[in-house]
Amino acid sequence: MGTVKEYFKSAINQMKHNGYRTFMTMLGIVIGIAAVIAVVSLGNGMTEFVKSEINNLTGNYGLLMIDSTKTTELLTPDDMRLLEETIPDLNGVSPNFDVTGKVKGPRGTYMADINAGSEAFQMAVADPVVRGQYFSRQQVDSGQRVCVMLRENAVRLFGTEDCIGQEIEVTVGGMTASYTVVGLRDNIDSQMYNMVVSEMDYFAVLEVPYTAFANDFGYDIDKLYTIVVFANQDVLQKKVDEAQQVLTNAHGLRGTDAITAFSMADVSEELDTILGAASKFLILVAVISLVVGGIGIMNIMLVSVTERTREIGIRKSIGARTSAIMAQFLSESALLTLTGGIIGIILGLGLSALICSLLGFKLIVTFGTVVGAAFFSVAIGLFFGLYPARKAAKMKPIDALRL
Amino acid sequence: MKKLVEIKDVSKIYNPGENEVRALNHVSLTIGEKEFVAIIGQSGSGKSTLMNMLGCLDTPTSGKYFLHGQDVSHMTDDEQSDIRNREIGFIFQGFNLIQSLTALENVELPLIYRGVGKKERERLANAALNSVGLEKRKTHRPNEMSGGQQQRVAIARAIAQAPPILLADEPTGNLDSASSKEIIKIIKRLYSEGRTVIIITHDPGIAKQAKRIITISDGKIQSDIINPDYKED
Repeated sequence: MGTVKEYFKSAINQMKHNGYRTFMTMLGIVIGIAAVIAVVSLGNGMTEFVKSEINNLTGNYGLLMIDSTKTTELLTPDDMRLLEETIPDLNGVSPNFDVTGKVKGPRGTYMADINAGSEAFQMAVADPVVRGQYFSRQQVDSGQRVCVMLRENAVRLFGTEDCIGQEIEVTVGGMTASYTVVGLRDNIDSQMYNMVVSEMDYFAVLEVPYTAFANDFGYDIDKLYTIVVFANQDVLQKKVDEAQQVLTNAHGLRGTDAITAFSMADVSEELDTILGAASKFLILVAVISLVVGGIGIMNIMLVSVTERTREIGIRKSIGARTSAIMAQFLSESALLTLTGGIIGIILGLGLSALICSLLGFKLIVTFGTVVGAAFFSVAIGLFFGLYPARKAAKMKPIDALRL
Repeated sequence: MKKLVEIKDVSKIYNPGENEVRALNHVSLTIGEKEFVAIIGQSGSGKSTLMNMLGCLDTPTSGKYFLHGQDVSHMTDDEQSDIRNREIGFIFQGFNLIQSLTALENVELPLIYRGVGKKERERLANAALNSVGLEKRKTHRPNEMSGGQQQRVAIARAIAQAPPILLADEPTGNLDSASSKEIIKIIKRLYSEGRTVIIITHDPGIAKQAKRIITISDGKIQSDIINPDYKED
């Protein structure tokens, strides 16, 4: 039947007729849907942002750790070579010494975060070398005193980025050695990182070969607690597990869990869980506001039914069935919430676009979100319109006409 | 003469119990096809209750109502809606037009509920409006029309679906004398075109326009006569 069109025509008339009231009634739905849209698209944007930041900070690596409470064995450079030989898919293997020390250049002395590892270390950092080169395998193996630092560190220490080949003095634990600058990395352009360090005193970020580092500052390279392995992200988890297996066998630790493995893939999963829970909570809040809006719709529809009792009586007296009256009032409430929903979607998109641009997130809006919100608002209209529509439809024509 | 409406021993009691009101008290009545009947009574006589019974707007407390020989006194709401839609055209004292709709849309309304397609609906509605002389008022809303014009829209709505019975409840009660004459003239014409017309009124002047006059008081039929003064227009 073409009557659906009639119901909607009548519903539009009714909405126009009640102009201001229509708008006020819709407001609850508008706010609720806008909140849902904003939460979902901001949530998507934030997840993307945090993920890319984590990749920025960490690269694609896994850690293999030996638990000294469970075995007297420790990891050595032989283990590193073993891993390189048995798992050719690994992009690199490195020990990891991370200590705080001091660095002195012609322009001053600063605190320094000193990382010592192999040439594979360059894969841990997303920021590329912009001057000179990262130290090479050969420089690592021969124990040369070379280092890589950030551009901004060079400016602090030398007053210029033009410092390749210059020397700095590195002090760790009271011992001092001179290192030649071979490369400058781009500054860490991560908002998360900058947020963390903004509250701290200035410190330089230095990377040096572990061979020279151990030699100069009294560390024993045959007593490693941690080995870092690098692999492409899609195979990372698999390769880390393989490496764990290889080391466990090599040290005769089968059947124990003395060697543990940890990869960035684990972090991603945890992150998903946390962000998922956060957006679930926010959506719950938004849904509550939608329910409140829905109750508002129900209220106003009840008022409308009362106001239009006579009209209902007239319609019934000339032959409207229960279902026709139901359909009329339901299409009215559905149209009301759909209109509110569409306004809410537009508002929500605008809001999240604004917030995203302020926070530097990428705005991610899926088709499903928008269509889902539209359907959901119609569903609210139908659900909360049901009782008023039923009340209208069940009216006896004689009672309705008498008023 | 074929029986169209047959009421058998119908009572209607409001507020059953101590303060009960017997609006209709064992009323029996038969109206044939193509009759022109006036039901006259004072207010509180039960004439409105009778009209609601006849119009399938209300159900009797006891007794039976046959329409075309079919018992319609204990039908479901929806079945009664269908009967009203098919069989009965209502003309009310207060016109009962829907204020937000134009004259044409008001007339189309029963046809919508019957499921008539848009084109056919418009054709029937236009024809009905033309037959009551409102060719030029089709897009007007009720509040843009005089009482007489509104009642003519209501008549158009009542006849658009071509029901066999026209039920008019004080059709001239809200109108000035000129408009009243006009409306009565239209109603008489509709009768002469072959419809059954039942007018409910308290006004003897209106009642004596009909061919048969039924007087009701205290919920009972007091007299049922053929109008000796009836004259065709």
